[in-house]
Amino acid sequence: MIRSILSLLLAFAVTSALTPDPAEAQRRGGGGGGHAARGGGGGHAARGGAHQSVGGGGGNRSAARSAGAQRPASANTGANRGSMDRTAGANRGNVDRTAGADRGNVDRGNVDRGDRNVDRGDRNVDRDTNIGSNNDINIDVDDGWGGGDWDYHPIAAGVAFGTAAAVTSAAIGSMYYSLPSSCPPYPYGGYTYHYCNNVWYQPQYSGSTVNYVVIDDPR
Amino acid sequence: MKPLALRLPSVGIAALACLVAACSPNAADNAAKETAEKAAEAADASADVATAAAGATTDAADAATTALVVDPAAIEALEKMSAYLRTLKSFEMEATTTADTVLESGQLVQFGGKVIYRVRQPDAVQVVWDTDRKHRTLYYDGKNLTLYAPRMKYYAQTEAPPTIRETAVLIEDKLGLDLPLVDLFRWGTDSADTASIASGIVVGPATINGARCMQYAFNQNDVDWQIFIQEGDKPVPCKIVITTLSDEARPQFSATLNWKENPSFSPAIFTFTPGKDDQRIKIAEVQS
Repeated sequence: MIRSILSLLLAFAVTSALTPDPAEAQRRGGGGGGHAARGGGGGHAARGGAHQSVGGGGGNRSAARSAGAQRPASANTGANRGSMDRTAGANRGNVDRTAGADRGNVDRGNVDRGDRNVDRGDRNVDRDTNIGSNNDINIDVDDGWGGGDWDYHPIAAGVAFGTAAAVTSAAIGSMYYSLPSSCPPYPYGGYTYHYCNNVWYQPQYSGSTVNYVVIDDPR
Repeated sequence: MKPLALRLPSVGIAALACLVAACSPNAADNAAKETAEKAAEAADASADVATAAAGATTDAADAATTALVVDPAAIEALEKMSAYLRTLKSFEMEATTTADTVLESGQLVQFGGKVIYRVRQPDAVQVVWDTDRKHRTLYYDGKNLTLYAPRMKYYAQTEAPPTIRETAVLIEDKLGLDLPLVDLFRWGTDSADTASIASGIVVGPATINGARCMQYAFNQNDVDWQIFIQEGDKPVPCKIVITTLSDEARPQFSATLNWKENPSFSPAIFTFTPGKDDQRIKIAEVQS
């Protein structure tokens, strides 16, 4: 029952996130609150997602992921995430999960996989950049879609950054998942930039997700 | 109250047994060998004792099989499928997908999507990848690799190696594109690495989209994965399910695949030509 109420709340939150209203989007991001703060529990930030390929690659891929840096402090402290410790593999309890359902002959028995709970990190993030603290999940706002992109990608897993604030003094190197409203493109040197409020943004793909890096005047 | 307990994996007896006995095939072999040697020694003294020891050898081998299951038939099926995929000079594969995202709360939300691979060996690929949140198209024509967001009108382009196989490495390792089902390009190549499969079993027959397929389950790296392979003389994958183990919420990706073998493609579909509203942006490289 409680769970279904939660689902409804989430559904509502998703719906409101999809409101194709730039002003709303800006308030969410620019206000520095975002869903994480409004939800009161950080409930709408994504921490990761499912692998979409098996990988292999002689273990390189796996190594690259598991060798990633720890999540930045902001991801853990920016919102109240409750009392669950997600990183302590050792605390994962004695519950036999094979009892929950008949897993047929897929049941591999009680194999301990505690140590596999490694931080997959963010492979392609410059750790030294000044990342905005907005923990909003609504990233990578596809045009006309108003909401965002919840897909896991190497950055989304480890870093929280939100909509660029509509104020000045954004630090060079800051990264955002979306632009302030009315931030027009500025083609220069074969690439597109955005310029508004005296700030230059360079859109870029990180993995398959678009984000915006604050840069010096490229001209 | 969420049923968190049900998500938690167990610390079980078998695990401890594995730790103590080092559950590897070699260890199992050694154990069996040791037992056999003892049996041989005993045989000098008494034929009866030798018989008993031989029984013990069988028991030890059985125990080892239970602890670590890599069924050669499962690996063989993978290899047969891979070999078959390599024979396809061109194919179009359309997959209906679901992918879980884990919220910070640990709750899973599922997003649907579709991914279409149009492939012409050895040097042309178009991938149309649309989910509930993200639309992307990837173009590769043997010279350039382009990633395009049709709704945002952004594209990024980079020079690419002359073959799909090398380009798959670029896509995964250098650009960090978590392209769904990129395994299609790995299977049948050196990088598929079936050696890193920790367990593999034959689950049994299944019907996927009316086709008779055989289900297999594997554990490899930090995922459990299942593959359903079509029975008969065209062993293509019918369905794939990947469970990510590195997050205790165990998010899942699943894809049901439809195949069109050796279609003819217009060469133009592999080359990206920017429209007047399309804007070029950069693509970050993975810093390892």
